[in-house]
Amino acid sequence: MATIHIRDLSHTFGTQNGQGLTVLKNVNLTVKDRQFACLLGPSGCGKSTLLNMIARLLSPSAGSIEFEGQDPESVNIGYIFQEPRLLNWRTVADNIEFALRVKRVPRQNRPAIVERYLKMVGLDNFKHAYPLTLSGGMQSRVGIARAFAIHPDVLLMDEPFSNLDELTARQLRRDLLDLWEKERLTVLFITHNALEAVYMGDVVHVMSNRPAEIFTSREIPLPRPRDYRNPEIFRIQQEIVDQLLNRVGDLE
Amino acid sequence: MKPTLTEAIPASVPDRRRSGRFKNLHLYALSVMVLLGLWAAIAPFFPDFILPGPVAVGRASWKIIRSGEFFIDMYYTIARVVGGFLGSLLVGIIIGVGMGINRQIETFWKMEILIGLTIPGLMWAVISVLWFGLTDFAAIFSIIIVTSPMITLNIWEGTKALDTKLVQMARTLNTPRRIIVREIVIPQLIPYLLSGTRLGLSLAWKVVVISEMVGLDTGIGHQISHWFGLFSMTNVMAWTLSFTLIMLLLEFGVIYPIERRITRWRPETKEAFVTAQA
Repeated sequence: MATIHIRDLSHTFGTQNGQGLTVLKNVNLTVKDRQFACLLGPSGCGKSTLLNMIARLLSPSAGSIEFEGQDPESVNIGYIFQEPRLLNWRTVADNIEFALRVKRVPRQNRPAIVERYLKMVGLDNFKHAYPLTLSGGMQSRVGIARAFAIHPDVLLMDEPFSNLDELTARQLRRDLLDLWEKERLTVLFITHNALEAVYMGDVVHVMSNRPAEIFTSREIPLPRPRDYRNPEIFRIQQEIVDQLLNRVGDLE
Repeated sequence: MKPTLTEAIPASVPDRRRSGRFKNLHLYALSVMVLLGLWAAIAPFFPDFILPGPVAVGRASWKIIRSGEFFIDMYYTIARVVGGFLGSLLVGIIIGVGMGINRQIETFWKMEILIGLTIPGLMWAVISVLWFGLTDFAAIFSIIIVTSPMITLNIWEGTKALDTKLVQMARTLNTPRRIIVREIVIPQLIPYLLSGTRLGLSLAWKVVVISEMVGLDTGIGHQISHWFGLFSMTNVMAWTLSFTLIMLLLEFGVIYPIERRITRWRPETKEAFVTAQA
């Protein structure tokens, strides 16, 4: 259904001096249908650039991105950003309705969908509230509800919890995984937090510094729901961090 | 998902859609009373041709309002302001948006705006009468010249402050361009447009009255100048007072409610009409 194949993908930004800045080099990555894939890498390595190319906000300099059995133009993409990116002049319900309207969901079906997803993120009492009256965690929940409500083929997430305090982030990770288990979307989740990657992912792909490539991938065979206190999570996380440090150390 | 312990989600948020009409109405009333009281207290010490009392002025106002005379001239004045203001809105939006999205346009017009804001409105009122004669267009032209820098300035600020991350969000949904403009760009510009309108209108009223005093034979400004020529301070003040009342009505009855409605999503709506008149 929504397996993503990324082949030999490179991206070079044009710069003032005309030399160009290569942020991604020969990235190969497959995200299987209904898989929760995490992409871990140091800050500024080009993770967001990769995501933006999958979302068609940017065109690759070389290589290809394919969605198995689907026309790339028609792929329905859900995107959860680092900031909630809500329309602050619209109510919580209207923010979700906006996405449904853009996706041409018939008008009479929208209220029920809005209701359903707000309930799933625990915000059904806040339909008529304006985003700026909500806490940061609650605003993130609206962003999550909006992304799930359009039934995306692929859900992209760009460090969605990195601006939140750890307690709120933990709660939201738990809740996000609950939602994902119900809907089983194909997910590509970007983070610089190794513990988060191991806790969330079926698989963790690790990226090097700029120009970034994926130098190792690791399946996480732990059963769900997972627990932070599971020593196995901590052990795998430690191994990945060590590998990353070795690799980044090589470059210096 | 259940509501969480860590986030302490409150049961609901106060519904802001209906809250707050005019708070502290009694203070507004008191403020007007004090002004009238001072006026009434001072006036008896002066002859009528220097400072008539509020009762005399009120009576004269009532007379011009009841005779319908007031509304004829008010109509001319308002029509000129509306015409000039629509013109400067057009100019301001075109130049302001251009400045917000292009560095060279920005640099070019920055200087013009600065000059435009510095030259006194009176000068333009006189010049446009010299150029265009005793015509409505003279008044409209001076309004456009005087208010468009203020509106341009606001639209420019608003365009620069546009949140492009929201546009990016919309693009991930494949949102058509016209919906992006309508739902994401325009709502972000409206608060700036509104504050430009407010400041621009307050300038426009002043300029139009000057134009009418200098060279036109209709409008509030013409009446003020006419009664000034006859040394009737009572009528000068009656025309001014009636005009001011209409302006206040417009502010409280039209602009302020529109502003409240449009900016109700902000956590703290400022009592904006106080700040903007300054």
